[in-house]
Amino acid sequence: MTVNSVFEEDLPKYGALLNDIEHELEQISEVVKKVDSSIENELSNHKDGIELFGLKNSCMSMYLTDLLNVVGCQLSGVTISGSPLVDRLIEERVVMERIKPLEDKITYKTEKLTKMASGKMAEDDPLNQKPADIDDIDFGSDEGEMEDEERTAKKSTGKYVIPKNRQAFFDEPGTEKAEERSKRKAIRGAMADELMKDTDEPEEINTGELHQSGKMSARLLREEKEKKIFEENYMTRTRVEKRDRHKERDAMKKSELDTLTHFGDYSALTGAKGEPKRKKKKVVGGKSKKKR
Amino acid sequence: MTAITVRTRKFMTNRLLNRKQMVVDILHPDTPTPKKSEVREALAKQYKSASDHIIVFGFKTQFGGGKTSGFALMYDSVADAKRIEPRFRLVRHGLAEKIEKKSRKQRKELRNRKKKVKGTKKANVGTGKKK
Repeated sequence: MTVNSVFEEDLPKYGALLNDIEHELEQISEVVKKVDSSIENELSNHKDGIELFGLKNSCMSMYLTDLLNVVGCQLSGVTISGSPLVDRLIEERVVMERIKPLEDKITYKTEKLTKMASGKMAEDDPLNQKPADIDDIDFGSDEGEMEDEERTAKKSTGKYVIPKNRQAFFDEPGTEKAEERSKRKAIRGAMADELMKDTDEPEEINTGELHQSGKMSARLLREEKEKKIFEENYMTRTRVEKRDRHKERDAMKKSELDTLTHFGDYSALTGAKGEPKRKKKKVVGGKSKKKR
Repeated sequence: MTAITVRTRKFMTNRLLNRKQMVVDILHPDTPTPKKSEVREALAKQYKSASDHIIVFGFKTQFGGGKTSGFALMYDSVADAKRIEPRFRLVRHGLAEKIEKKSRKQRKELRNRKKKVKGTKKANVGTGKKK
């Protein structure tokens, strides 16, 4: 096939296409005008603030307009470098990309609400629903426990009102109220714990370089933790007595094998002799107070 | 330069004392505990301030080595630091001179000798006893 023959075949097609473009341009422009006016109408009501979807729509239409502008410039040979067109395009693109994650978050909810409003879906239809949003769950507060007088007193003056001396009621474990309260406490505790895990530094677990089996370990760990919290809050180092320093040193020296093989003194059961009591040796010739 | 990682925790801005205070965790595997000057430089680089503004103290190394924790205070200016920090810490950082005093016993003896004398003769007590 020669170049000329290809050219001859395509020329009438090209002409037909151009005619089509001209005809359809009128229809398209009408539709575009409709869409544009509807977007502007939605945004014109600023009383309650600009809504997210309205913003997205207007941004999108502006972006498309500018894009067509760029194409037009390129077709007619006008440069776009340095023109405000490029900046506008970039701005609109950034805005839309920022809106996208927000939109993803609220899409499910808006869809659900519109469906419920238009009657296509019943409110309690469990089949069509995902787990509820965390903001919608009512965990309940402790307001029911404060007496009305106290509450009004506190709110009105803002001063600290000493709580009245009144009877503390015992909630039987079986009753509804006790169960509710325990449930609330459990949820709050778990939630708070999860939040702390996210924000604070990772939890350190003591693996056992200073590990001592038995009852001592929990207490010691607690004490060490308290000490650490105190030191970091007040930005000081606590004084360590000589006795405590010696205890630490002895603990380090003690091998783990001793603690593992020590099962406790159960001689009372078997009637055996039992472990000898450790006697505290008196220091002979120790330091005595200077006589002044 | 040895591989030292400096991490800060419990960061708080203390506007009343014109400083930022924080707990510093240093990870220094295979190296001895780093000097205070090194830590100050690392913090200065991290928080984009001068190492003169930073006062560092209270370092304790965990048993076995490798991890040390301490405290750091980052002042707005050296003048602020000199005004607020206790003297011994400024001396440790080279921002003040140590005040040389006579020993406590000597000071007390001199004071007791001065008690025995009245008036302007007190000034001569010290010099007189040196004979």
